[in-house]
Amino acid sequence: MMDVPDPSDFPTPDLRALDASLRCTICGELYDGPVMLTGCGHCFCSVCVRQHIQRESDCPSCRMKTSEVAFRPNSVLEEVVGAWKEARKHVLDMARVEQTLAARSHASVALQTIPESSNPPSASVTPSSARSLKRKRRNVDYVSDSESSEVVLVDGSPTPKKRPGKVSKVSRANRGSEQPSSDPEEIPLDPNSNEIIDCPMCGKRVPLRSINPHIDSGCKDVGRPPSKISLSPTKARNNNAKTQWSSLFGAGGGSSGGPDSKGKGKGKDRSSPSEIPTERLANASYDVLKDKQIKQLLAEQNLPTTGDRKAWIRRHKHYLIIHNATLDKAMKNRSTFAELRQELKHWEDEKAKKPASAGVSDVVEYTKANDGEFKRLVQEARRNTKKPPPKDASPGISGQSEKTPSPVAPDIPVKSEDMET
Amino acid sequence: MDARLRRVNKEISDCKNDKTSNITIDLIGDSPFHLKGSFPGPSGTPYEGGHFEVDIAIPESYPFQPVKMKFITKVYHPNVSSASGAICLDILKDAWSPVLTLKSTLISLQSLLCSPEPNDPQDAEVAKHYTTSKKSFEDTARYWTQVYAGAGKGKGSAAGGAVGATEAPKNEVAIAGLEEVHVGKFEKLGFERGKVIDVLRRLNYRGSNVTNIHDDRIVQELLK
Repeated sequence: MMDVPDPSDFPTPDLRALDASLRCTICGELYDGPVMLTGCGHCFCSVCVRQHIQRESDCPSCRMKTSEVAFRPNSVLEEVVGAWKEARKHVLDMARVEQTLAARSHASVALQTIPESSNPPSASVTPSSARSLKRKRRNVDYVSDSESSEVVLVDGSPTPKKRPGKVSKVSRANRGSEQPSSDPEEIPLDPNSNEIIDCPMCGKRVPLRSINPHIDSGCKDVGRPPSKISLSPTKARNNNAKTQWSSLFGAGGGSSGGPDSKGKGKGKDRSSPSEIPTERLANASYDVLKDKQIKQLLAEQNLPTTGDRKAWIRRHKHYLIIHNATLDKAMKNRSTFAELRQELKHWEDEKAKKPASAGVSDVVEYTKANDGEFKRLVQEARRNTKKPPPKDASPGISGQSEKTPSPVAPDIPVKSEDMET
Repeated sequence: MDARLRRVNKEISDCKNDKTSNITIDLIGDSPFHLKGSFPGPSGTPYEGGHFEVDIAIPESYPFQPVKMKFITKVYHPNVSSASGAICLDILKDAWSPVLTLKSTLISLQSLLCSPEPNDPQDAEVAKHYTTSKKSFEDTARYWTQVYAGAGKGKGSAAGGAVGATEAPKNEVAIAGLEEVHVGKFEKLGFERGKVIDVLRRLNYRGSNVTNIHDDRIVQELLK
């Protein structure tokens, strides 16, 4: 079995509880686009609960009646999870190091690890303590890092904005407006920067430097396609080293806009705001639609129309789920249309694989395991049908005799067989 | 890796890490979607001391569809088929919720053994036995636990289904939940022992029912 990160990674129960509480109870992953069910207040990944609501109309946790209209994006939780995703690995490393230290020294030391290690997650909320946390992390797990990186990251030179500032930025970007520049700590408005703002007239997202031509053109010209604001946390971690270095070197000019936008440029290439879904799709009543109309629905979303009607409906249904689910995320975490289509394809591929492998292997295994029983039942059935005057057939047996041997049904014949042996 | 596999992985490791619940989940073959769970019989019940194994099949749309579970170990219980091991439990059917896990479902099975529900039976004969005479039912369930689930008498661990049938000779009268006196009475009339047991079991010749069922009725059945 492969290794999947879960709360049991942590050595102490308090950290395990923390990690577990930030996980969706349906998929067991850290919340991805969490939504809260108004009414009962339970929280799930948007994708998970939307899949559930297709089958049942109640809360998975408490069974209170609910529906899609009761879902509210839980942006605060999304921030918290985003921050925890960043901090998790470091906290884990620290907790393990402390665990080994504690194991080496005496039991009294073990007591201290608990308050120590439970500190970081809460600390990651404020930039200043995040920075001190950073210092700790450096000491613990980046021992082999070059000195320079350590200095740059802790001493508050203009550049460290990238990493310690990131946490605070996550929170601000979420907290409503997509106007990163409105924050005092953020980059000041620089007419030449690549900053993206909402057009005050039409609400479209436009690079700051082309805002004037955009308005002048009557909000038709979207301007140079803006790049995405920031990386998703996971992507960010992958690119961690790269972005850190690029921020180090890019910061040379002192223009705070420079390194930032460079870091962004390394992320997904989101060439235009229209590539990110902004509007929810409504459920369709497929049963009343003609084939042509369903195909049209797919075409509207640029989805393939391969397969039969069943496949179209399944495809469209799942696309609705992931499309609407991505809208429950903060702007910066949303998938583009292309990514959604990719995800859909991946999902279909997985589905296509399964029935063949899982289904058949189960059946084969089942037949093998119950082969003897099947044969015996068949024989028994034949014996009974051959002798019309059922000399020894009890009602139970004769009742079952015509049936093909089903795995569950024939309680009575099997049992009586057992008795007789 | 797809979400279902990730979740199953987590659930298996969760069970491995949990030493207090005494519940285990193991792979049967190569597939992570066909598993074997086991748990100890709840104490204070006829199932105490037994070790019960459950076949677990994880459907394609898990966790949005319930897992398929059935007992591998033979269990004498109104809500478990005594022949196939099929289980009648709401959370395995329409009351399933995706927040339930393999572990929580196995715990539910364990508690199902504590509290039989004869009004919604899976095995009608066992349920009849239960409602007629709880005492006699418990004796039989205890005997089954000893024979098939390896309680007490050291019959070895869980002997499931067909394997159990070929093991050391068992008292088939006790397995059927009948009394030797009754079986002996009709055997003396010249009927085959197995047949007598079969008929008496079907007629639920137990407890207070013994006085309700006339001997002629039984002989009639035996002559059929």
